[in-house]
Amino acid sequence: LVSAGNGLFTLLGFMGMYTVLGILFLFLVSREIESGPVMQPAAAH
Amino acid sequence: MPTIWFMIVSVMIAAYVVLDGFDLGAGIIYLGAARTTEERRMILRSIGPVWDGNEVWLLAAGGTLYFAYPQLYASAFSGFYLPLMMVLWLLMLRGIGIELRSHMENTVWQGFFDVVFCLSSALLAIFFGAALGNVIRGVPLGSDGYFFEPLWTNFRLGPSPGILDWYTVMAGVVALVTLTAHGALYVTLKTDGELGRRAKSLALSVWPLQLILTLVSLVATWFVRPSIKENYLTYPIGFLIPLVVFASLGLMLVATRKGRELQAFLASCVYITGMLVGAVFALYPVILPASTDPANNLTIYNSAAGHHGLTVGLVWWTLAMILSVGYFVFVYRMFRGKVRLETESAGSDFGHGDISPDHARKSV
Repeated sequence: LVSAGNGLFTLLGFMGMYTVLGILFLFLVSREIESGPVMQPAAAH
Repeated sequence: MPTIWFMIVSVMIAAYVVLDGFDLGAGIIYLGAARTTEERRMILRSIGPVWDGNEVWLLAAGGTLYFAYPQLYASAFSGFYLPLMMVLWLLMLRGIGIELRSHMENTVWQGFFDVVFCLSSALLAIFFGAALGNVIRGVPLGSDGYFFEPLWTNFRLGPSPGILDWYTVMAGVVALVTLTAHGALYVTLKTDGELGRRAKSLALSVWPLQLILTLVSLVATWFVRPSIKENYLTYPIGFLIPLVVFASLGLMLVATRKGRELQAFLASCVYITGMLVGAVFALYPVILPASTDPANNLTIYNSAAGHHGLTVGLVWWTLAMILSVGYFVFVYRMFRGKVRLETESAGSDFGHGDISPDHARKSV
């Protein structure tokens, strides 16, 4: 038996947290794409 | 059968507190014990391959509670709705602090995630302690088996207390100090050098506080819930539990001073288990006491699932536990020994690619 106020508070909390996480995810992914793959030095034969 | 499941749920909760307790404790001492970036990475690496696995014990314990005592689950999860959601946020923030730290080379961001990790670990310890305090003190259960508690009222006890009152706040502080010592002993065990020495001296300096708080909490619990002595008087063998608690507390001090790191850490595990066993021994067969009327208590009998379900579940639980214990033994065996920062190959302080410190050394 959960009150509507508590439900709304936690809904807003989760929305806020996932919004921040989503922005952070996009930022980090775009940075990884911009920096590109790390080239390994060619093995000596 | 309800008694068997009572013991199973208790064991799972104890396993969670002991296992996740040391990585929560490592988080609590994170900013205090680790001064340099390398030392912070060392602490993260010391809990690296195990912290998320340890947290699964909380989910497993919650799932088992739901399976065995659905009435208790429904009542507690609605009555403790807000604090449980806050625990969920703190668990998320803690994971975010650990996982995202190594993705940001910027020192400001790293400092931010360090604070998030440390603060959420400390708050989680306080929340879990306060939750246990609520269960021991009792909640305002109605005759329908449900209750609602505000976060706090006037911090006094009574038939309609808040989630936070002087007793539950004290329980939160006990949990914070206990897990600080537990985490410090774990970091002492897993690291060496200046960090290991600092963690050791932290464990030693927290010890007197832990002793005082253990004594105070026992007296306070006796005062808050006088009925806790009934099971002890009916089954005097229960008095062995406080003896084990104080013996393990003494062993923690002696072993830490003598540099027996593993023994000190195991003594801390026994201390935590002893405290929890002492609480459930006192409560049995009640699993959620009512502060309003003892007739409203939730017990293992009036909140258990059907006999057939519990019997079938025991078979599946046993199989799952064999798999889980096997996995944990394997992981901790692979991860034995001190952690080092001699390899950068994994690119992360907690990646699963460098699960073994020995493996990490060889891969340099």
